[in-house]
Amino acid sequence: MGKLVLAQFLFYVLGGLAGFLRRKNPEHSNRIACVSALAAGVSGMFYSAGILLSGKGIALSFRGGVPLCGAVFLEVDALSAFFIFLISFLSVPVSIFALGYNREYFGKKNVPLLGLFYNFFLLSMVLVTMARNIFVFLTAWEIMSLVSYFLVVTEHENPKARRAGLLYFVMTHAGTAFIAGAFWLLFSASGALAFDAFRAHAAMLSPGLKNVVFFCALVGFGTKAGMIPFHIWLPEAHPEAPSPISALMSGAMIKTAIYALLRFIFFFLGPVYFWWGAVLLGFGIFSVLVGILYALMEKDLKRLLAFSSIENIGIILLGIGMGVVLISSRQPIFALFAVAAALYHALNHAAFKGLLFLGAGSVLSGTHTRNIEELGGLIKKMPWTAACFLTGSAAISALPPLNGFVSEWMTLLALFSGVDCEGFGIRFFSVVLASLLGLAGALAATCFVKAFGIAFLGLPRSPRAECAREGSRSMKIGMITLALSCFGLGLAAPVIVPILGKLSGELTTEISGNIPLIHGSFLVFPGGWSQISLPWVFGVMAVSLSVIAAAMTVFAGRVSVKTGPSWDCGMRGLTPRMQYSGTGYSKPIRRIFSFLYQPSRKVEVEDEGYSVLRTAKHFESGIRPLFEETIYRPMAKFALYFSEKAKRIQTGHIQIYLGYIFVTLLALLLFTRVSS
Amino acid sequence: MSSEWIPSLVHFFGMMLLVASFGIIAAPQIMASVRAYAVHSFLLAVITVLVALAGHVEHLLISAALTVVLKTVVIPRVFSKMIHRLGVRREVESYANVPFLLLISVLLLFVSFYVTSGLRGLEPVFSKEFVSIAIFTVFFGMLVMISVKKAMTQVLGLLLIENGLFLLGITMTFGMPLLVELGISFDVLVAVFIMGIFMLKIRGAFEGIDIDDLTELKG
Amino acid sequence: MTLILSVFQAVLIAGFAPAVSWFIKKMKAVSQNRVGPRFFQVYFDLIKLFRKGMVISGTASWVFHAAPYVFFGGTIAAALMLPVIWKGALCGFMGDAILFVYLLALGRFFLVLAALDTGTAFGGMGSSREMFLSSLAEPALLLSFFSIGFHTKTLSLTGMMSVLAADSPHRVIFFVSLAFGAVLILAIAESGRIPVDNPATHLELTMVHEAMVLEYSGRYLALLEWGHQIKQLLFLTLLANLFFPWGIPDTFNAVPIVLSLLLYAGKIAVAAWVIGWIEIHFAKLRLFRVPDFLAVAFVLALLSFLGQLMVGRGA
Repeated sequence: MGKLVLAQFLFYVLGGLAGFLRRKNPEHSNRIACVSALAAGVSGMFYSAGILLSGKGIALSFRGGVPLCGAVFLEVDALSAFFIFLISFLSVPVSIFALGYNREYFGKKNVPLLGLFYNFFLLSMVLVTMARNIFVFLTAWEIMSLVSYFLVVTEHENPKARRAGLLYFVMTHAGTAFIAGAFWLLFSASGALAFDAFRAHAAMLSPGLKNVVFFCALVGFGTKAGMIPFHIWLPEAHPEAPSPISALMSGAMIKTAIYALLRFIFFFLGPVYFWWGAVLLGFGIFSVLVGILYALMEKDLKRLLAFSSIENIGIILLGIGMGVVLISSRQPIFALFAVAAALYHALNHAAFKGLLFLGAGSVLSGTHTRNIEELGGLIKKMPWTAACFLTGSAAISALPPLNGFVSEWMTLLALFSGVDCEGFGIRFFSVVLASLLGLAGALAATCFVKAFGIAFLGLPRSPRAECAREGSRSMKIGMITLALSCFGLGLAAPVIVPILGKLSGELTTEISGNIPLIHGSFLVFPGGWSQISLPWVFGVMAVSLSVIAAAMTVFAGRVSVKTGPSWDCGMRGLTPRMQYSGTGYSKPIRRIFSFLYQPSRKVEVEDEGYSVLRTAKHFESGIRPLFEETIYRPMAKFALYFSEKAKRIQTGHIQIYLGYIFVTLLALLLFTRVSS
Repeated sequence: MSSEWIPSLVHFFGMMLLVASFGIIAAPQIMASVRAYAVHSFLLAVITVLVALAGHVEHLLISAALTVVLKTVVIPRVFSKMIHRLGVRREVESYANVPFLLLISVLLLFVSFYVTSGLRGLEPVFSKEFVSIAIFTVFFGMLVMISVKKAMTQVLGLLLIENGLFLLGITMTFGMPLLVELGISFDVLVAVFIMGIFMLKIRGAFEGIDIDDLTELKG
Repeated sequence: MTLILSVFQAVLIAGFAPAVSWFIKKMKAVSQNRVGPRFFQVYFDLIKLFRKGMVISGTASWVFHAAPYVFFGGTIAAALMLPVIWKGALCGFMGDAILFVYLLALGRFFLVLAALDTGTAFGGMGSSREMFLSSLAEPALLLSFFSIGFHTKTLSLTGMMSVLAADSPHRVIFFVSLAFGAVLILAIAESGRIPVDNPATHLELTMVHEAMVLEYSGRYLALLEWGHQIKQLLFLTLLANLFFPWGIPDTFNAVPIVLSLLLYAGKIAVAAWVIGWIEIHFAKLRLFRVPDFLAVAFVLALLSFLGQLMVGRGA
């Protein structure tokens, strides 16, 4: 096992560097980088699956130790293994996809450097989940942020990418400040840097300190995860990165924040408090609803996917939050189920969001636009991409028998299980939250019907869409692998759920006994209210469909099928402009949720002397970015104002600066004397 | 009736009472709101009868009869007359849309239950959920008065508050003494008449009973 | 034996569904002093459509071909989970009410995609409106199921019905009466009836379902229409069997089964009469008033739950 871990590291490091050997030949250099990432991903999947199945973690010890870090600073326990599995599993098809996709950059970009960043990005994510020490964790976290920043600004000649990169950089460092604060508080309480010490010390933390640490961790990791209202960087940065990177960022990187949040809540902060769960639920449902509502209004395919990532992070937070609430309401078995649902959704989201971003990447490389209003009819030109994107859309809309449904079902039941708790508030809000999650699921379906229907179906809306071409073979293989895994992760639920149950049992309860989550091919809710079996659903649907098809041919015989034009109301043919646009499609939703969107429209009308013969010359409609305008802009204004004021102490005289230093030093010395 | 049925029936009518109050906000036209109020009062009378039967408090039957006559017949009549005189038959105009108001009302119900369930020393003589329903009705009446624009519906809000207090009375203490009850009933009737006259005057002054017009009065 | 009965149930739902449509059509016709269709006309229509050739739009892709099958298959799979004339169902074990909701969502997902597939404005319009309405109806339906599930302590459809049937009637009336109102509204919305959608219109201002299936013809149209009728009957069956669950046998015996069949027909007739009565007496709502209507369903379901909480479960 330990050898596989080292192999993964070596593949990442060497593969990243080896690309430079063939600097002159981008094709080879790209191939080296992607294949080594692929190999690293496969070895990562092997050992993490092994650890998850056996339950025995591995610690990597280094003789002599490293200053400040001790002998053991990397360790893979079950929780780490799950997230390493997630990252490695996603990196395999993404690497295959990147083989073909990166051809875009040949001759335009420094391909070996891209390969280096790509490999180091993956490596840093793996390291984050393995770190057992503040230094290692923060270093890995910073490398992850930096490398992903460089990847976001790959297309730095585009000012939008630079702006997105800057926003990402600022937000992620603001988040890191909070994380560092949380660690510092833990360090000052326990006097150690190692995670094991935090865990051992958890029970002795004072409630006030615990609350502060929780708050810092929530804000810090919430920023990375894209939790609303700390999300504003996410819809800017994820779309600007190259598509394989977007897939990794949405599928895997934001999950490292979930990982860290889980470790903080359940390991470092010991017995959890009820209100943490309530806060998580609040942020969760807020992210779910606002995320999907903004996604619905997007016409940029990748931004739409980014907003939907916010929604899915919200679903994961709902699972975790409900877990915390249920633990503190003394329902450990339901809590186990809730956290397992969150973990399962994290894995599923990696699969279908990865798939969707790869599909969007394929569309982008085939048509060179992300604007769905310019697309249409791609299903004819790019049949494989279309089929894969449709699979991803169905999965993210939680349709049976795909994987999204299983985790959504589990989350719904986990929320509903709150009705068995004591307390009027939990019982009421658990059901309200469950139905709001249902609302979000239905809105997600609308959103992805729009995304797929406008981009892939109908008539092409622009020459770009008309001249679209299918991506290369490796791109297709990458997408198909993920599309199949969307089916696989759904149908294999009876195999996956017990593993997740065991893992979540380690987090939430001390019960190590077997809690029956499955029964044969059935997923069973431990409260006994319901069960579900996706293999059966799949089988029943397949059987009923074949019965229908057979019955039709037997009883009604074959019928003639003619091809004709679509009904054009007797006019002379349809033009693509007559189709519904993406904006038009979501108009009803925009209208009833206008309190959130605050839509604006501007019509400049021109008439030729007759008021009935009006020709709208110009039409503009948009929505108001609420969070940017109400939270971040005032903050930025305040910061600018403050800097303006602070300018006053900047005189330019070196003596004054020396004076500042001297006064500060004196003040510090006095402070230490007085406080001791 | 078997003793098993009465609690279930009371719960049922309690629920229906809630639905009727929601109907006042959800109704598309003012007259429908008035009808919802009539139904609300009728259900109130039915609950009063059930309370009277269960607790053997006969004077409540008189209150019930008074409620039926006054609130389900006379007051709606007055209203419909007034609506015809004023010629307001349009949709109920409110400051927020209907689904939002409905959801706010559900939250109000939750809050009123949450508040009353925590109170100690509250010993209702009858089914305990009616205390919260009564409190909710009072809250809801205020919500109606706050959220709608037409003076007509504001009067309905006031009447709802009165219904809520009545309900609170019968569930906490088997109703107030009959004399007080009678007094309140006629007060309500008089209030409705006065407000009707008032509204006619408002319309005379502003050619409409939109309360927003009153903002013009300030200096 | 139970297997045969279960299969018979599925066949019954599928076979009975057009008759319910006929009933409402006839009722409407009579109210308008028309004669209305003969009983078998609905069946003849379906058979004719199954035999007719199809004209497929040149713009359409494989999604257009797959959609009728997925829609019909999803609806049938949902139908198989519902107890009809005895307390079991062929596939009642395979999932719960949540699965029921999402199976219907699966069919709808493909239907709305197919509507976009032909590239006409009608299709886009129907598709957009259908998703708009269903994304508001779906949470209300889930909430109704949660509210009933809170009382029955199970979410499986067969389980809910058995628990409710074993309960004494007055408690059922109290606990689920408001959820009944919610499901009634949703039944109207989901089966595309007035006041949400007008099944008899071809006016672009008002169409929802009809706009989506406009490009379909022949066999596919038959599948869609039939599927839609089955979906309508599914909701009526929910109304009839969840809220009036008495007299449904749980073992196989000829006499009770026949009685239960008659009872079922009667209950469905009453439910269909209610839907038809509403259709006759109300006008179609403006599209942007429909959310208010659906909000009423949501609030009713929520009230039903809150009421149970206030009184205490099982009180």
